[in-house]
Amino acid sequence: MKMTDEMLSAFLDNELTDAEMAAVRDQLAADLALTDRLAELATVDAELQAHYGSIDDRPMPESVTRMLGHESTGNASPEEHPQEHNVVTFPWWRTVRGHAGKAVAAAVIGGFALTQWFGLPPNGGASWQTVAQALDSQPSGEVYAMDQQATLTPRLTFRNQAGHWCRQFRLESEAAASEQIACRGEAGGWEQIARVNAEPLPESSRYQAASGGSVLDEQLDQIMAGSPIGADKERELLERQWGD
Amino acid sequence: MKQEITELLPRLRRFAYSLTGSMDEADDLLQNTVERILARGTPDDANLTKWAFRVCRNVWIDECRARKVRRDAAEQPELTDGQVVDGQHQITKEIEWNRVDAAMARLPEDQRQIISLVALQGMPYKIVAEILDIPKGTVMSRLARARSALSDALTPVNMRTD
Repeated sequence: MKMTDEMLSAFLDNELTDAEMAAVRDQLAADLALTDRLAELATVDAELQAHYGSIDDRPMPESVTRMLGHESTGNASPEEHPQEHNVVTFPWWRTVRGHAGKAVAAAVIGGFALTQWFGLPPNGGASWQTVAQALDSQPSGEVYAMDQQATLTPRLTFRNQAGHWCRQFRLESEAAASEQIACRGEAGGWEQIARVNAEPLPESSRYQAASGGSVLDEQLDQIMAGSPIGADKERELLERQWGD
Repeated sequence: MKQEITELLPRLRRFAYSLTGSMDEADDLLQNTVERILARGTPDDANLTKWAFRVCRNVWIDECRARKVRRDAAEQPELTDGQVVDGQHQITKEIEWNRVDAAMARLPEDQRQIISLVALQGMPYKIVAEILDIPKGTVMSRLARARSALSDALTPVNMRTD
């Protein structure tokens, strides 16, 4: 498939069919120049957001807030009226699924190798192997150090609609963090099903809340068949090496 | 409805800023947009978000046309003599005018609206198509052209891949 700017652009917005999204991912994993081009297009979005987002720092005009029946804000600091100045509420149209392409873009802009964070070459890159090893062996709720920089924290273990085992987990480094879901495929290896960027936590405050994967709730609802399994069952499953 | 508009304000304002390329003009546009929404209300079956962005865009287009008429008049040398220039306003505008604004200003109006709604607001193509009343395929192709043109304008020459 010839990869046009139109395809890449729609890929960033997750507006292609699943098959087309997969085709673009495959080509990205294989073609560095294409990755560079994607980064250029994604950088445009980042620049626009940074530039036009800067108006949030300026107090909302009094004339506007007055029309909407608010108290006069005068020269109030943003802290006194955070809902009017700095908080951009989560738009209703933005589903978690919609972040798939942008997540890649953020990884590209962030300078992460695509294969490391997302691309997942068909045969499984080294770093995904590390992820897979952690998913194979680590109980939920424990922080597992992948290497000097990154940690992985499995959060949930459950079966998907097809009856395969899946795990929801958090990947975290100093510069980036993501919440992900991976499921075991027919061949037994782990396949990434979903990924959404998360705010990296400062070293000092890295705690792992059980509900931290809630950004993926919508997808979990779609994927999960029944509830996550408890700690005991999970331990048995790890000991059985995921055999039924 | 006022509460819902209030919640929309930050996003509408960013949209206004991306369309006008100036914070002052963005706030003027925001004010006129809110005024128009309050004065004319929204159709019963309309989604307020979509409606508000549509109104903002329409007000902007009206203002652009009006400004163009004024500018065309101002560019007639015989009319500029004795014209009072708001110096402070002019300086503020020049400081604000940066390379992102410059690149956006070179885009056709429709491309600019589309990339604002998608890249800044994160709207799906389907919603953008409804707001601008154009086919979804057109959103996709014009958006790609906009990203490509902005990328050419914003990416330093030594970083380009081609």
